[in-house]
Amino acid sequence: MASVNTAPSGKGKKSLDAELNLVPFIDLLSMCICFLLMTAVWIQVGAVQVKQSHGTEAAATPAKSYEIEVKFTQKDTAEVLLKRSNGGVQKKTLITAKDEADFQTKFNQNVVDIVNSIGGEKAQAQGAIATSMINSHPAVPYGEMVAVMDGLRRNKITNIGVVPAGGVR
Amino acid sequence: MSLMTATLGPKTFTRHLVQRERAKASRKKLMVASLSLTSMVDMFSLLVIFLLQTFSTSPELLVVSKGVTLPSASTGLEIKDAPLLSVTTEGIYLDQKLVGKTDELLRDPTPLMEKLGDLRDQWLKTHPDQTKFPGEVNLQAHRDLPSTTISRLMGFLPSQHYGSIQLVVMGGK
Repeated sequence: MASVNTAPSGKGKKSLDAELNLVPFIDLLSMCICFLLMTAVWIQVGAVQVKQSHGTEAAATPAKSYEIEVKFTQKDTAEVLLKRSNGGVQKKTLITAKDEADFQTKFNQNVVDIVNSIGGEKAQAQGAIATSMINSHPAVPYGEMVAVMDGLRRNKITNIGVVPAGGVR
Repeated sequence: MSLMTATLGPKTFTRHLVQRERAKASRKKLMVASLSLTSMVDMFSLLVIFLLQTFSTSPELLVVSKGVTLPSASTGLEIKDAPLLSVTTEGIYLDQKLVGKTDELLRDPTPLMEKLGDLRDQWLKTHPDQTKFPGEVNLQAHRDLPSTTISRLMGFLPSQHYGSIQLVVMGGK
C-alpha cells in the first residue's frame, strides 16, 4: 500500500523497501476524529459575577476607597460618577454615543481615565475602587448592561452590583 | 461446416479462450485504482491536532435555552455548578422547568422564590457539614431584553439568600 524507499541509487546494491501498512493508522485517525468531533464544544460560555447585597448587609470596603456608579439615562447614554467613601462625588462624566459599539468604546476609555485619576493600575490593584453599582433603564438592553460590567471588570473592578429597577439606594 | 477448418479448429478455439481470459485479466487490472494516501493521512493528522487543541475536559454545566441569545463579554469566568435561571420574553425557567410568565413573576415573584427556597433547603440537607449557603445562581437572559427586567429579578434573589449571581455570557475562559 505505502512504501518508504531507502535504497541507494548505486549499482549492485539491494533495494530496501519498507512496507508500512497505513490501514490501521487511518482507522485510528478516523476514530480519533469522530470522537473529538462528537465531544467538541463549539460555544464558549462564561459568567460575569454580580454581588447583590441582602437587606441591610453592607459590603466591607476599605476606609479610603471609591465607588463608581453608572446611571443609564437612556439607550447609549449614561452618567458615570466616581464617589468617595463619604458619599461625595469626585468626578462626573456624561457619556453619549451613537450606537452600542461606540458607547462601549467611550465607556471603556472613561473607566481607564477614572482609574488613572486615582493613581492608575497600582492603586486599583490595592482596591482603590472597591465597588461599582449599575443603575439600569428600561430603554437599555441587557446586553449593554453586561458590556458595561465587562468594561469595569477589564479594569480590575470586580465587585459589581446592580440597583434593582425602581429601587432607591 | 467441419470443426477442423481453419476458422473453427481446436487450436483457434483454444487461442480464443486464452485471449478471452487475458482480456478479462487485463480488464480486472485496469479496474484497480491507485489511491494516494499520503495527503489523506496528512489531512487526518492535522484535523486530529486541531481537535485535540480545542478539546475541553470541563463538563458543560448548562444548556442555553431556545430563543436566548447570550450577551458577549471578554472577561467571563468559568461557570460554577448552581441552579440555572433562564429569562426569555415568554417566561422564566428554573433548571429548564417553566416557573411562570415573565411579567407575572415580576409582579409577584412568590412562585419563583418558593422554588429557589426549596432548592436552598435541599442544598442545606445534602451538605450538612457546610454551614454557609454559597447563594450562587446562574442567570441567563436574552441580550435584547430590557435591563430593568433583569435588574428587578436580581433584586428579588437576595431575599432567598442568592447573593452571588453569575450572568451567563458568550466568550471568556
